[in-house]
Formats: sequence, C-alpha cells, structure tokens
Amino acid sequence: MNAEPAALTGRKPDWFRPPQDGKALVATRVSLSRNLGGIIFPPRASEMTLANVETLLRHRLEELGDPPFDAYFPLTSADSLAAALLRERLLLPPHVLSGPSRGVAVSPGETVSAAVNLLDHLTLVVMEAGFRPDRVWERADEIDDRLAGAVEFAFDDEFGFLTVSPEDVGTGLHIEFVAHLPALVLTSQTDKVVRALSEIGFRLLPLAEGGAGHLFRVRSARTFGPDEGETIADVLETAPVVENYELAARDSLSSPAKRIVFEDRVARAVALLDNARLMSASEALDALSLVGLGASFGLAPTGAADLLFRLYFDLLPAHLRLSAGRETDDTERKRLRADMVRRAWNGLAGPRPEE
Amino acid sequence: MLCGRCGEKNASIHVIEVGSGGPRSLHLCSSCAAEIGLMVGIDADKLEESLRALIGEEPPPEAEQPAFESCPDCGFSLSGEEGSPALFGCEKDFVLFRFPIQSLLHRRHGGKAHKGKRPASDGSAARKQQALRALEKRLEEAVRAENFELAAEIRDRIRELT
Ligand SMILES: [Zn+2]
Ligand SMILES: [Zn+2]
Repeated sequence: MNAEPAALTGRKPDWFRPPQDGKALVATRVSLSRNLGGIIFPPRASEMTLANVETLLRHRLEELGDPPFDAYFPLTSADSLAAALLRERLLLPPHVLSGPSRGVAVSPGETVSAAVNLLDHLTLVVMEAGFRPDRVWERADEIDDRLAGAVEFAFDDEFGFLTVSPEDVGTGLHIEFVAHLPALVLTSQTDKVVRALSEIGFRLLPLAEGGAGHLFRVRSARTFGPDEGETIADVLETAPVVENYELAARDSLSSPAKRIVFEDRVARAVALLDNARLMSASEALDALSLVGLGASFGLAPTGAADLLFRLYFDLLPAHLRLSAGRETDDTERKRLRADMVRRAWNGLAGPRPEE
Repeated sequence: MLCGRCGEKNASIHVIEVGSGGPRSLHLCSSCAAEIGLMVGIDADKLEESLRALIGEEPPPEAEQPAFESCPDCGFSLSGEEGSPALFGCEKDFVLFRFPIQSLLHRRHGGKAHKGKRPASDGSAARKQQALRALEKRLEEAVRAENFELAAEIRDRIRELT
C-alpha cells in the first residue's frame, strides 16, 4: 500500500541499535542489484515499460508473503525531501534516478526493502542489527531465490547478473557493516583507514552526510570476480580489523599525552549539550557521540552512551523537516534540534566532567 | 526463432560462441549477420576476424572495435553521454560490447568472469516475461496505429500478466 515517507519519522529501524558490548559494530547490510531479463533497464526505459515493471514487481513482492512488504513509498524525484529521508534510512541505492513509476517497498522494522526502478529494476536490501554477514546474506539469498522463481533476472554466464552500473555487474552483491568510530576520528586516523580499505576492495562512507556522529558504512566494492562466499569471507576478515583499530584508538585516549585533549573535547561537548540553543545535525550528533564515548571513561553519565542511538534519526535534516509537520526555516529547525537534544540530555543523571 | 540481435526477423544463421562461462549459441537473421560481417561471400580475413571476436579468443587490437556505435535497442554507447558515467541500458549491451565491457570490469574489479550464484529459476517466470515483452511491443504498435480498441484489449492482458 502506498505510504508517505513522513510516516517513518519518530520510529527507529530495527537494525539501528547501540553496538553490543560497547564495541564498534552497529549493523550489517546486504544489497543485491537485479534486472528483469529482456526488458530495457530503467535509465533508458520508456514510461510504459517503467510502469509495467513497477506493477509486476510490486505484485511479485507482495506475493512473496515473507517478508511482508507493508509499505510502498513512491518516489519520482531523486532530490526531493522524501528521497532525502529514505536515503538517511539507507533505503535507497547510492545513486537513484528521477521519474515516474519508481519507489521502494519496505517491510515492518525496515529489515528488508526493495527499491523498484530507482537504478536497476530491483535492489533488494536486508539489514540486521549487529555484525552477522553470513546470516544476513542467507536471508537475502533466500528471498532472491524465491524472486527468481517469480521473475526472470537478466543474467549472462560470463558477466553474471547484469546491472545498470559497472560497479554492480557480477554478483550484484555489496555487503556492508555500519561502524561507530569516534576514536579514529578523534585521533585523525580515518584517512589511513580509507586508504587501507580501498586497497582490499572496500569503501568507507559516512552513514550521514559528513560522517556526523562518527558513524560510517564500510562497504564491499568488488562484484565481478569474487563469488558471494568470498565477499562474505572478506567482510568477516575486515570488520574485526576495523573494530580493533577503533578499540586501540580508544585505549590510546587514556594515555597521558592524549587524556587531557580528550577530556577537553568531551567537556566541550557537554557544554554544548547543556547550553546550545541552535544546533546543526553534525554539531548535535558529534557531541552526542563524544559524550557517549566519554561515558565509557567515566567522563559523562552512563546513560549518555545510548543517546546518539536514541536520537540519531530524529536529528537528521530530512527527518527533522518532515517530522515538524509544517514549513520551517533553517534557524527554527536548529532550535527544534537543540531543544530535542537538551531535553534528552537533561533527563540523564550522573557524573559531569567538571567533577 | 527470432534473431537475437534485432529480435524482428527469423534467425537463419547460428553461431556457437565460446566464452569462459561455457558455450552459448547466437542466432542471427541474415541481414544482422551481414552487418556484423558474418556472411558467406565476404572475404576470408574479415570472416575470421568476426568469428574470432565472437568465440571469445583474445582478439587482435583492431577487432576490439565493436561492430556498433550504439545499442539499437536502448541507445547505449561506450562513450556515454556528456558528463555522465556510462550506465548500461539493456542486456544486449553486454553482447554487443562484450570485449570492452569485459576489460572495463576487469580494470574496475580485478576479476575475469562471474563465479557466483546463478538465478534459481525454473523457466516459468521467463516464459511469462517473454509474453509480457511481446504484448508490450504489440501495444506500442496498436497505439501507433491508433487502434485503441485493440490497445485496451492488450492492456488488459498485460494487467493479467503483471
Ligand atoms: Zn536481425
Ligand atoms: Zn542496449
């Protein structure tokens, strides 16, 4: 059934939870790019073809029954507010097209979604909380198999699954994990991580624009050559390395040389949360990330550890604009954001860094 | 059987193409075969060159030039449009521009061929989709001929299939 993206504001996707055991890995995401055999791909398809593909795929997705796709968000403009909101929730492929007969079907809790005609005819996405690439892949693989029984996918023995972008041809598979990497940002090591990752075929992308809240996506890039098992193995190998790098950076923050700098950063974040009347998304999210990290060092109330994850989506630009329910200007939105943050922050009790 | 290139005329020429994914057959009508140089009566060098291009051997440099500037079905060309990245427009692009696409993918991903899963299909979906494609073509023709009664009929049948 058609739905408005605004309906998503105010609730969190099931995959978004603080990392278990206070470490760095937040969620796992698997995406599969697929096209229908013998049918022109969306960038060059006529409106009639797009409309038929949309009708066909919506019916086939509905008939799957499991997962139940209970909402369909039509999306005709790639740079609309609705698109921005869906992008903030990772419900869209990296690049999307504008035009009629496009949209994304979403299951309850947003663990499974299917983008229709947004770049390829179909992009199937499965997300789960925590780091479990094999399990999430199995789920995506199983849905993909049932879909392949209902529609014919464009496939070539040599090229594999045929896709619109050369970045996806082959398996059409990208596996990514969402990671919270505040210490790597604080110690200015993200550039190093980007370089190391790109050498082994991975990309480091910000979860929100500019990497606000120190949240990132680490995404496998190679689809032509490695099979699905090899991609999973690569991810299984890469994630602990990134996580350990972050944990080592966290440890380094208590070294005598760095401790005072770190305390200063947390104290400034606390001051911002206590006092700011206007806040941009990155200001608010970075401050929440810092006090969250500070909490594990006894520099902030223990409840602060989860604040970033409680408020993350509500504070993002498109979410805030749509949840306001009326026209707002930039200053008004910054005020709404600062109010929201201060209310949650003041609700916590515990040590403050001024001792 | 319809020609695999134009999809309009009957295929009269059948070629087995051997790639790393195993043999696959190519069915062409005589005019399409002539267009890509696969026709009796042309000089032997040219024929050998086209055959070599088709059977997936390392082609000599001059054979790397595909026989088409752009895909007749979707308009895709290797140069892409001004300022936009090359986006593939249909399945056929991967047949028409097999070698350049192969080397593009090899440069980007490091791989030589797909090794992963295949679609788990029993063929029934493929048959339905073929019927749908045929109906779409007939609908376009009906609309062009302003035969709206027929168009409505075809539209109903498309609706049943989707
Ligand atoms: Zn032909
Ligand atoms: Zn084409």
